[in-house]
Amino acid sequence: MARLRYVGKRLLYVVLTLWGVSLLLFLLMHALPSSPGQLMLGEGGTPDQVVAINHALGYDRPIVAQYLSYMGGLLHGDLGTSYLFQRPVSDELRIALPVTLKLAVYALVLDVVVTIPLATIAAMRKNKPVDHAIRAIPLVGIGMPPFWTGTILLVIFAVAFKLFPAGGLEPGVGGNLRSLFLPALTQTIVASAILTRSLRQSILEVLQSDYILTARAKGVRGLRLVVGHVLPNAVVPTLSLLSVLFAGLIGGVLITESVFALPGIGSMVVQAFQVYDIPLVSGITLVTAALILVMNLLLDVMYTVLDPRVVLK
Amino acid sequence: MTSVTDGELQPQPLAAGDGGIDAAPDGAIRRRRSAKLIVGLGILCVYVIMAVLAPVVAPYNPLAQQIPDALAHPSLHHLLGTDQLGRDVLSRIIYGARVDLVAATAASVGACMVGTLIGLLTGYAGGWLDVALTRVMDMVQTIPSFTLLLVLLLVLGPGARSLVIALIVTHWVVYARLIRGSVLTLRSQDFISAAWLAGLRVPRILLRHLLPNVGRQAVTYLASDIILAVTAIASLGYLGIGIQPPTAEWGSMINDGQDFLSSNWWLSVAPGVVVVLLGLGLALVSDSFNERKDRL
Repeated sequence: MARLRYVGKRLLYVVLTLWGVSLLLFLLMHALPSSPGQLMLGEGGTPDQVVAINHALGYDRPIVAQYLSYMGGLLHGDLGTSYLFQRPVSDELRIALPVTLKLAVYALVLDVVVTIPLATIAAMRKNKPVDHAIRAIPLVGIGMPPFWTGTILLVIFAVAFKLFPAGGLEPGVGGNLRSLFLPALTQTIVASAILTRSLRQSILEVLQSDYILTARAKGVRGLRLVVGHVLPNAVVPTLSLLSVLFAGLIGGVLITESVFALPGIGSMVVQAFQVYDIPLVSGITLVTAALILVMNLLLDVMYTVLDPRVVLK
Repeated sequence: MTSVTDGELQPQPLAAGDGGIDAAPDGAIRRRRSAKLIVGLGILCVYVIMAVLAPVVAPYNPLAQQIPDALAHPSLHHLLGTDQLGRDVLSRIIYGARVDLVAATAASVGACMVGTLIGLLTGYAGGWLDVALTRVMDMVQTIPSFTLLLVLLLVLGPGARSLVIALIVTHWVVYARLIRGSVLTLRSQDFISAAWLAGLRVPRILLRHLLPNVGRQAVTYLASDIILAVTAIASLGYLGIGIQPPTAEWGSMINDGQDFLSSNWWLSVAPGVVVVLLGLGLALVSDSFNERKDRL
């Protein structure tokens, strides 16, 4: 019951925050130095044409009226019409968003696969050379911009060894897994640097607790100790870090898409930016914000399921 | 006992210190820390020298085109070769420090000042001001900084100044949260009550009594923040947004080199290494700051 009330409260908060973000975007887009007509026609437009386009888009109406129709559209899932593609923004997103989501999930899975063994090894071999080596990774990884790491991975694995496609998205599950591997790995190199550090620290803390002493006294050792007793308790704090990282992950994924020529919303927003496609840029911004809010809610709920000691407020 | 609060994203220091649980002997920790600090500061010095003395250190004009020499391999004349317009890559990297490092530092210091001020105000004043500004912070952190940067650049137009302003808008929140959190714990302490009872004005309490106690945290985070700003600037440059050509900028250099990966891979790799090394230097400095903080 408490959990249900908590989720309800958080959902309300998600809706309120999204409303705030949409208002912010609406105001920013109206603070643009040029009107949509000027932006679409560029230098070549005559004043009459500019006025005609602004009128067709409803840009010449009072700002309150424009806001009301914008909000009315949003409530019906209408994000406006893209100037660039001359199609509803929601249709464009329906094609591009799955690519971005696949990449984000792939990167998260890789993060887990990479982080857990590295952190466990580092913690179990505390202050040994292997621990120092693993702890040095974040120092280098943190300064690696995803677009550069992606380029390096492309040079090595796609150009030199031809193990993976050099860009684009191959169809089918196998093709997807193959062509999204390098982009996901690009993301993982930065994220796992931070996650490993945090997980190592919590494993060390768990190792000092009484229940681990008890388990050891009963004769539990090695992998059984780590998998059965240490990790379930140690991953919880790192999970909360994951929700902080998720916003960064989405941002990184957006940039990575351009490096690997993937047809996701990241490549789309850059394209839209370059031609001043205001509805598309603000639509994508709103959708990514919604994505992050929902993901954080899911992670927080998962947090309370995994660790019953967590108090819901 | 841990608790989940409503969407409060507490800022995590980039590199959480390893104090406490790693009970190594005192001397060893201190030695390792000062080694980190010295190496980190050494790296940073090289970059600062590059930026300040660029005209003296750089062998060529970064914008001078020598089309016949285009795409030359590294040699004694051009240590890192030349790009597709015959410009000296090493000189462009050196001059790039004036763009990337200076813009990133300006943005981070600006964000630090704005965030600290807002954090002090909201933490001390509380009430509706605190609620309103905390909601604004939630909103800013909900939008991925990359898309928020694009939206802001759309409004502000191209150029370095817009870029710095946009970065301040996306970066101030972490500072504000850090400072607000510490002010909340200090607010009820006796020395603040005493200052208030003595009839001091609010600005004086904030700047003379609270700031010296919380400012250190903001400065510690600054080193990590500059890394984020440099990668953001380089990423935008890579995408052809932000700093416009022909200005020498590391991100756009990496992008230019991408067409020649199979023949002249160093065109992309060299500016990237420069970014990574700068990140390493800053990470070492921020790491040793964090370890010191944990021991206090």
